[in-house]
Amino acid sequence: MSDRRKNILKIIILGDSGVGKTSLIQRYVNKKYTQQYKATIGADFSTKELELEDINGGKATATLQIWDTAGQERFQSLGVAFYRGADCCVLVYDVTNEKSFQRLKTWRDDFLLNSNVSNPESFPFVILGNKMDVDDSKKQVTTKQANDLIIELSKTSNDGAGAATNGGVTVSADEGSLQSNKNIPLFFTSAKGDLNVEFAFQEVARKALQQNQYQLSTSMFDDDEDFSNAINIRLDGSNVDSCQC
Amino acid sequence: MSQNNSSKHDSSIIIKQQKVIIVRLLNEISVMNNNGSNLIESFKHFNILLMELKKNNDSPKEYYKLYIEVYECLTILLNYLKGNHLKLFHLTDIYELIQYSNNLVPRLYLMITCGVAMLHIDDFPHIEILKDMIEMLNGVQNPIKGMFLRYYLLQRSKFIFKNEESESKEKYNNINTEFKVDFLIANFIEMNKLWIRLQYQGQFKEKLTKLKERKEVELLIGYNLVQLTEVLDTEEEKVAIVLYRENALPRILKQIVSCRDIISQEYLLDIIIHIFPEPYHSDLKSIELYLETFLKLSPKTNISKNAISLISRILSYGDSTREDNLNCVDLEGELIFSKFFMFLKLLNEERPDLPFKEFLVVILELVKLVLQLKNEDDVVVTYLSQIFSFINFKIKDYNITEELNFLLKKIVFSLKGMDKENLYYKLATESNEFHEFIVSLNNDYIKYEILELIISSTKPNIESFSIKNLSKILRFFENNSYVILQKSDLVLRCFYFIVSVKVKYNEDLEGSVNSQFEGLQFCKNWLLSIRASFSKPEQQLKVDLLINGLINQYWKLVKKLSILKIKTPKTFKNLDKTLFQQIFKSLSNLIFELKNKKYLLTSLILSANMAIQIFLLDIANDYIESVIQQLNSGLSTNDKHDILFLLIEYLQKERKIYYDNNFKEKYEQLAIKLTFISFDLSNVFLKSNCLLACTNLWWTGVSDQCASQQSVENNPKRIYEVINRLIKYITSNNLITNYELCYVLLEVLNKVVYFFIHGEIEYFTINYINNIFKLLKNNLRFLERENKVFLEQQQESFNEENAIDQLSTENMFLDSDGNIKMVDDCRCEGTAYKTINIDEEKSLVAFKKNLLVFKNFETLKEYIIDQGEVDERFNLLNI
Repeated sequence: MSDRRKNILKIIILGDSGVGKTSLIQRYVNKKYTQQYKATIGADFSTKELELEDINGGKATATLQIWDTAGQERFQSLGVAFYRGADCCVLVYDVTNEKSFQRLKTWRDDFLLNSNVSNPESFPFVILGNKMDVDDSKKQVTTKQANDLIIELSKTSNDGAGAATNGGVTVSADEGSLQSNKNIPLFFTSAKGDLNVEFAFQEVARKALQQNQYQLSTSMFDDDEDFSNAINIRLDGSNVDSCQC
Repeated sequence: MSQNNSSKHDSSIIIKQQKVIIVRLLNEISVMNNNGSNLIESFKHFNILLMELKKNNDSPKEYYKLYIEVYECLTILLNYLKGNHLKLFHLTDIYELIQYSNNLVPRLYLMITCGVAMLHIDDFPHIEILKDMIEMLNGVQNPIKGMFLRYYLLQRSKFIFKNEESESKEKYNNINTEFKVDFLIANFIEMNKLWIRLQYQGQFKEKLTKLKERKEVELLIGYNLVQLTEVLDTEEEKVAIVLYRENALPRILKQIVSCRDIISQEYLLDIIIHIFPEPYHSDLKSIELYLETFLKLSPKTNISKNAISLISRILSYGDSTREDNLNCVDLEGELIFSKFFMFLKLLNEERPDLPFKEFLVVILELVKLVLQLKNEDDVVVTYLSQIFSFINFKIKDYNITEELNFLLKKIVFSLKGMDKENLYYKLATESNEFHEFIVSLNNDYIKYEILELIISSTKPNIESFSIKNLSKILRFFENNSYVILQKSDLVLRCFYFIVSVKVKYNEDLEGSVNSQFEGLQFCKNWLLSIRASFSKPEQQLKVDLLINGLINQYWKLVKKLSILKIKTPKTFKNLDKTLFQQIFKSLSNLIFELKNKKYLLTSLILSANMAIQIFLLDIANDYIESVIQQLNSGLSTNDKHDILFLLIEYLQKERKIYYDNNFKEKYEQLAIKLTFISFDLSNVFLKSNCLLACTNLWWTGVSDQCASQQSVENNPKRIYEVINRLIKYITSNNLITNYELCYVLLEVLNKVVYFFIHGEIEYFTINYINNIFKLLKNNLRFLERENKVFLEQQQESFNEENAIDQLSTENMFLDSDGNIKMVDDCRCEGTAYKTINIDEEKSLVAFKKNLLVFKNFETLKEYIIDQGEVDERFNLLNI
């Protein structure tokens, strides 16, 4: 009667205040939407279980731990320690708010700076352009702008956290090997109109699972920590399908 | 610092190490082999890692980092407990067992984890467990540890507060909403106490550090309220609002008031307003509760900030309901307004210590609320009047700084852009309070800006622009010397509203002309009444500008009449002509108020022009006569020339009307009079200029030649006389210089040739013209000699390279006063020749003048030669 071992995939959602981060999570996790705006304070997660194909094509059950965050910095007083251990970061902007779009890069850099991920070059991000239900006349960010930004972010992501400290100056990658298939997926969503939300989070989960498995495989060779062999045990456990029923 | 870092690092390593051991102990395979006894073993390691949370040296931020790592480890335990209950052990036993743990903080973390595992399972008494856990937590009085523990409890048990779409919905229905609210508020109150204690605990930390720490942990307490929103969310909105305003909110606010802590009050009110949904705040009872609370806050707590947030939330609710066309959720705007207004009054009474700014920033937001109410304009004006009355009342008690002035201005400007038409105009004309407000402003420029806004947002020609309203608007400018003296165009724009040129055919024409005339007269009287306060000469000139502007409006009214005359002669005929007389009488009175003589006379001539348009020849003549009378007093020669010239132009233009209306004699009389006055001008250039213009008075002009057959005709004899007298004057006067003589002769020649071309050969014979040519050429020789002498004198002082430049007359011409002008109209005398001394300069100018005369003469000769090709007569001229 024992549980099948689960992958917990940690997802961080970032973006300016009012772009719809909480609404997207509500829509995805609870299939609910409310027009009323409630500011998010601090950070907290919702969980959602789903089945995924893993790298090897096998089925895997995963628990998404989706961290909703405060878009207003003043509501994030305890800092962003929860960035650590993330498997995927979702950047959200509001298609009717150009400024929220301009700030995506800052959010990305802030994440890389504080999350301490081991592979900033290839760490998965997903961008969501939310509020697509709004009348076209009110939209401020074109698809082209969005695509240009993705190209820009993809280019600069290989200097990772350094980008934040170097004032965004792009440094050419010295380890080009890690830079492969680096393209940030972009989804146009509407939490209100339930457009693309499920689909986008599927992709988020897939990316997160890849990252999770990549992390496990690299930390195996991590000699810095004196209990590295202990992790092997856990790894063994995770790879054995131990359903005993 | 480095030591701190290393201890932090150590903590982190300890947690990681213990985690590895725990994972090994609790992992499935181990569990199978060890029959559950590993759990007891693992508690030892949990204790070790939880001890890291018992240390208390770090800042809350660092503590939070450890907390997150610990949280992950405890998740392993939670899942293990949930998964193996009844399989390997009974959770009640574990819960018991944990009570024997030695250390308080680790014990509580473990206990909560176990308790929460029990909450996940149906068979346990959930409410009892929750009560037990929260009671146990009272044992921790260390602020940071206690707050994090309580936060941990909430984070773990949040699933019971949420309405998550899973089977859990059924499961946790056994905990009713009221209990959840009680539970959260109890935790909230305890946490708030801990939070405030943080301020006073530990002796050595600096105040600033403490403030920083308090700000850092604030979101832990906020989390209670976040969970409360979740609980209320599980209910229908109406039920939720009642629960909120009757149960939750009063208790929370009571705690906020009674804790008397500034940080707590400011933060908690801030987040309450932001995290609960808008409909909760738009409820009248809730609003009342908030406003009562604001009044009771500690003296240093910022009230305005929260009041502003509250209003803006209500506004945003109004917006969203409007957008969704949910008009049924209509805000009770009037009640909301009166509640806030009452709040301002109470605040004023109870908090005399508050600076004026605090009131103004709230008012600024309140004005937006007023504008959003879907009421009629009248109600809006009434509310705004109340607001301004409040400001007027308060403004007296404060020293109004620039910052306050800016806010006051902002309040007025925030009325802009609303789709309330003519709101400013309505306020300005209907609200005494608004009037008093503007008058009491102590910054002239801001006053001006506001008046400018009022005037520019007022649509001209609105029906309601009555004298009463006009007087109210004009009152703004009284005693406002800044506007009168510096920004007079604002007043002029007011005048501009009075007369509408547009003719509406179905309107009562006489009535509208009459009322517009009354408006003008009102302005006239107003202007004359204020001028007493502006008696300095330079001020009088500014008042002249205003008078001039008003004169323009009189003309506009007359223009309207002349349009009527052309478009609907019948209607025009029926109009009362005595009204016209009155208009012109009033107009001339106004004109005679001008201090500047030239303005005055020019206006009279232009008015005569207007009078002529509607056949008021008597009036026109009266005007012209008075101009002629005034010509000899108080005018410079140049001004006199200009006025005279205008008169000549006027008379020449209106010749036909004079003739057609049996005023031929009068015309002759005036023409002769003007000619005599022209002859009396002392300056020879101006004299010749006017006289030559006078010749036109007896000439019909080219285009009028057809008309000449009817009434008007040329009178070449008179022209001949005038020209002869001019020639006689300049040739017989000893004081006339060669240059003057040549200049005038050349002008005369030009004129004579003009008449010659147009067929006047009876008086201007070829012989006559040739004689003038001869005279001119003889005199030009003198000028040539003068120039030659000048060049010889100057030969040495000019250096070769500059000579051509300096002697050039490019872009220059001779003006009617005989002086040189540049093409771009700046006088060249004295400006371009600074390097030469004055005597030399004078002779250089004379030299150039001569050159220009030669040039003009050459032009005339060329013209005559050209004409010769088409007109044989010209070949007979001896040039």
